[in-house]
Amino acid sequence: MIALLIAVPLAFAFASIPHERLGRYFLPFVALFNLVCLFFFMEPGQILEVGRWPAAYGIALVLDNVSYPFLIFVNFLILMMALSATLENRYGTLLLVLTAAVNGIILTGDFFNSFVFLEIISVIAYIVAAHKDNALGAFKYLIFGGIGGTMYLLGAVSVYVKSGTLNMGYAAFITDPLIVPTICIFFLITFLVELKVLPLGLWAPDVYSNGSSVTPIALGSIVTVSLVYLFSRIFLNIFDLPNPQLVGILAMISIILAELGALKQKNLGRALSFATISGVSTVVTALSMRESEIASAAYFYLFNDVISKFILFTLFAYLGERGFKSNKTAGIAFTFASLSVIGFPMFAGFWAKYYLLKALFQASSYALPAIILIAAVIEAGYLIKWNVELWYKGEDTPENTPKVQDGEQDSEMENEANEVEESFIPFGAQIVTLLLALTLVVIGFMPSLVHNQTMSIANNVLDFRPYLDLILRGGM
Amino acid sequence: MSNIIYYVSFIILGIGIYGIVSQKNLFKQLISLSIIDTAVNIFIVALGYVEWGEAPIYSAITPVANFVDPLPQALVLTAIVIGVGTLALGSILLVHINEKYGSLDPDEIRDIREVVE
Repeated sequence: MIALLIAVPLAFAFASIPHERLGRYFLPFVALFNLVCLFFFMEPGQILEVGRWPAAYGIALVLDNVSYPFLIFVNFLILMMALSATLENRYGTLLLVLTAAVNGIILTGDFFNSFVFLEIISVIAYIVAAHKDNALGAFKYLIFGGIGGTMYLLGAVSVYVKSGTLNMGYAAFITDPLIVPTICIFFLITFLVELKVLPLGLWAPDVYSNGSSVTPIALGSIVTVSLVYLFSRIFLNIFDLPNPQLVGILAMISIILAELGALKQKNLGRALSFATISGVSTVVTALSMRESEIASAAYFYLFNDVISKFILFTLFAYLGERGFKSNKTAGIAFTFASLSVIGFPMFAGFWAKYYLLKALFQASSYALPAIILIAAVIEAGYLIKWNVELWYKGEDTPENTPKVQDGEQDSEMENEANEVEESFIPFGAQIVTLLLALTLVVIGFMPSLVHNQTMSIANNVLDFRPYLDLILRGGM
Repeated sequence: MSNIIYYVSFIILGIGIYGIVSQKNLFKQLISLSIIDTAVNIFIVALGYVEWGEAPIYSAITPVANFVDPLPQALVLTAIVIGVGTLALGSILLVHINEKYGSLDPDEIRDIREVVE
């Protein structure tokens, strides 16, 4: 049954190849199917040994208390993206394969299988990154991602050489003091690239700011959440991260550099890209501390950051050069998301920062809280500036209309009409962004809805025994 | 003697990394990435090598199982396929970049972009 979460999207992806335009219609139904399966027909505590090979020898798909909520969140994001993004025909098939791959990377309990899913995600990510004629940004990502993927392969093979199996559960028994840090460094390089921690995440601003309604959502939200899961599984559940202070310092530098980068930008897309780098770096820093309260707060932070950036990037893609005067619904959603990112009271972001700061103070950690507070001030600076600019932006004023030569006027006017048409926000995008913005408000008033879940994830991810028990059902 | 292959793979890996860091031309960077892939594949196959080992196929004429480890070979096969796919995709992206900017030199591309913006 668990395998359906991978097989069904893949089957529909193949089915859509002869009729490309069907792919984008399949996508929301497949995401909905996955959510229905997860809610009504699946529950944590299941393992599927592919080909009935014992987990130690074959591939095992594991649905436990950590992978289950992550799968729900990822498939929810895919559904929201399918409803809000303007998908070109060929992107339907690609995003169906991406759905299969992200579900696969969350479910798999095998290192090499996770490498294969990671590479599938990467290849699709390069193609999606090239959307809107952004081949240069996509190529930068390909070089960084290619090195990251190679390092992951080296890490997976090192696990096999030392433990004799590629299974994640058995890998935890590797105790060689030289090999464990080496394996962790290989994996860590991959995560620093894919989770956009500077300087290895320098590819992200060029990719996310291409003005597409698909690229930043697919890569910044869906892929990021699945890789935060894998980061947690490897470094919180299986191995002890060697020298977590060093990772923390690197990620903290990334937060500051990203916030300063965002403040400096004159393009909203690039500013949001740097803000995303800062958000994910905060999550990486917090998770590297391996403490349950802090990890729980980090997951809450991730939830808020992903939902808020989903709204901001979607609206950025559709707004083009226009402001909020004729798109007040979009304006409200944008402002709510901005306030939540800043951590304004009554929004989910406030609780995300509150829980994180509280947990850090309880753990006597003071460097990260200081950086989070400084980052919040910088975030408030540029996000409020962008909000004011977009709310007060004139619509179709003569100053905004480019002057053209008489002969070119007709074609220019036609182009302009097309641009206005393109910048019109579709009904689906308006509803989805507004719903997500209201979700941020509801969670602002009832944070326990998310906090209880994140606490459960954090407690389970830091306890290796339930995962191993599940794996051992197959025997060695 | 059998360790030589490890050293060879590390030397090739070093050449690949040097290529990515030192070469400005985007196509050369892509080739350097491919060299890194090859080095890692050689390293992985070498890990499964057994002195005087035989091909891992059970048959009547190989009753004694002194086989080389087949798993690294299977892993490398998959990694090669993925690597080729990535190389092809990278080449397509470079064709698009060349069509758009008329160059594969990052400095020239930067200058062209500044003029356009």
